[in-house]
Amino acid sequence: MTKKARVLFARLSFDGHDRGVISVLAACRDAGMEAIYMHYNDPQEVARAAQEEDVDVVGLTSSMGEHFYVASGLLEALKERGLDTPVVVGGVIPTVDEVRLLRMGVKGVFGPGAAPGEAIRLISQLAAG
Amino acid sequence: MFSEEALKKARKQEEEWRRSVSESYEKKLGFELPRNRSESGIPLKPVYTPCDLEGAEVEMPGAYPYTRAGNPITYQYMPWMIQMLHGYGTSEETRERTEFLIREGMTGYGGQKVVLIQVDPPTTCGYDPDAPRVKGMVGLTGASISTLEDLHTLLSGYDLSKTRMAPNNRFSCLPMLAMYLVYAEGKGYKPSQLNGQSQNDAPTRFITTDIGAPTLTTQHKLRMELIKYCTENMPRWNHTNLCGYLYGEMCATPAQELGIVLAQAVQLVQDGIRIGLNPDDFVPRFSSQVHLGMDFFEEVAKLRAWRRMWARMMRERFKCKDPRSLQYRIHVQTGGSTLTSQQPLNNIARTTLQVLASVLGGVQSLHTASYDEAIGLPSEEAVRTAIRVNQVILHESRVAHVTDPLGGSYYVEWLTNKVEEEAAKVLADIEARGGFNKCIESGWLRQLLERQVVRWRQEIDSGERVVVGLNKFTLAEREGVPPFTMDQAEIERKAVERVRRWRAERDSQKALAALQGVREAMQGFQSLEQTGILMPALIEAARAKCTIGEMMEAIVGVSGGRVYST
Repeated sequence: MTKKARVLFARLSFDGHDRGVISVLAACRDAGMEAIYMHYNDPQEVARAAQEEDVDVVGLTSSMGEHFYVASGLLEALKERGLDTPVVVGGVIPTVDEVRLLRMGVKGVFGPGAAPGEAIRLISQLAAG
Repeated sequence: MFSEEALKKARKQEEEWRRSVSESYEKKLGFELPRNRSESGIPLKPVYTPCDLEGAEVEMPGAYPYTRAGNPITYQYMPWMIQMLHGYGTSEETRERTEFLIREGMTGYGGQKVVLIQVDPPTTCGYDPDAPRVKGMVGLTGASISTLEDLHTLLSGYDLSKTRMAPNNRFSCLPMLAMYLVYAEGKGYKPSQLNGQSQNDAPTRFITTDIGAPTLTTQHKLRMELIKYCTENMPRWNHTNLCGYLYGEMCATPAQELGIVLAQAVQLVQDGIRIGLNPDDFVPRFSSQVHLGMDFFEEVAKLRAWRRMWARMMRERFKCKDPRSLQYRIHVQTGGSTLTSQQPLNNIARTTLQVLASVLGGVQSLHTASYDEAIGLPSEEAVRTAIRVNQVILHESRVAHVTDPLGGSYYVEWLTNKVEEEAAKVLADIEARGGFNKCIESGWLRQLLERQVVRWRQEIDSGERVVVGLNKFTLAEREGVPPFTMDQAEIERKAVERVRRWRAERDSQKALAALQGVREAMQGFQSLEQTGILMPALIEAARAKCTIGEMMEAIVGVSGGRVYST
């Protein structure tokens, strides 16, 4: 029996949209994962939590157009801590922005309407290494 | 509504209908009648008759309890306001969008200018664009507004006595109002001449957006302060816009939305009385921003039930006598979350149905979502189309020729009663738990909404709930609709530079003294009994050219705040 996958979901506290991430959280828990949800003001806080909580994957949610800003901030903060925790991004992400996010090093992008099942599949794969 | 004789006949007819369905469908074809339910979970029959309205009274528009309309005639006298919530970037970009929308037909009553401004996340929470924690957020999804200069950019040249100014702030409504008063004062307007609205609904924002905020106690004090100030000084200003919209966006059913908003009204009216106000002096200036979802008839029924329940509550419970206290006014915002980023043009069909339902429900004002809103900020073309939806319905469909055209429909009248019953249960539940503020504090309301969100998603995933283009009639390839873009970094640079210049050029001694005045007032604001102590200090601060961020910091610095976290 492998250990339960641990996933950290994070939302910028200024971004009030969390309907999407609430469903993904519930779906992760239904799939037997341990899911943590936090709000942050600085991506550094997310990187620190990822380290302290020893999570396998970080999911960022963004629905106001801050996705590049927060994703690059988090990737950098993780690197500074010597972590290679995979990062996925969900929320209101225009399809045309996906390639740039993936090029930056994000492992998966789940835009409006994406089924939680899709995200869960990728998260489990990433968690399994 | 029906005589005993008419009902007797209807009962017989209904029995015959029942028999015929049974014979032709159930027995002959083995067809089982579907057990449909409304969005609020009300079981529906396939047909309604006078038997479903036994004991109903004939009611006219403009007469208590105003189910049909607050006024005797509606759109035949005055079309609904086409108010588009807008704003992005700085005050400059937003003013350009305002002018564009006005050219395309955004309009208030009698051609009044309407400036329904969405502010950006820093402004809404009370931070200036140069606050360290807002980096990367300035100008996103709303306008960065922090100084009198910003208001000048937004409003210069407008006759403020004929402009409906409605900034949409979460926690910073009071500083924003103080600044608007001082801006208007500089142009020679008295508070009593100003027309518009404060959102003044921080707790709803707090619960539904779960965002960093002043404490709930502080928020409530600020709300009551705003209500008191407007009641005594601004008779044309809507002091509070009870926001049902955000509950709808968090998947509250129509009946839940109504029940929750009424529970909030109870809290505010009770506390208004507590601070010495007469309900008839402040109740008329409540209004609502209501969510409009996809259950067409239930949404119409909700709007009708909303007016009726408000009127009954204010008359029977709070003993209001002024008809204006009873005639509730509703602004609809079509539900952004009903839109899909997949096949975005389908969204025009959705908003058309939503605007039609709003109009059949007799609302005073509408914001129509743009078809590209599931992708990002609306483009000019999309927002123009959203205005056109209103214009087609108003000028071509002729639905506005008759007041409450669905009045008397067996189904709609029955459903109005049912939505009322369901909403009354939600209201009673919240009151039994100690009222609206308690239910936010305890997390109960938040949990209710989270359950609704998860259920909605499960219904989508199972296919039980169909969303065209999303889980049915989908396309194999994904469409890459380009989002409306802006250079956020450049916007932020500009906004930061401006606010810093603003501070550098003012009399800083005067500004600091005024902020000290705000802190002292807030220190004295120990309980609701001292309501009225803060606004004069904020107006002084706005006169001393203090920014929204500075005023908010002075308030929260004294009263405390927190970032809500789970």
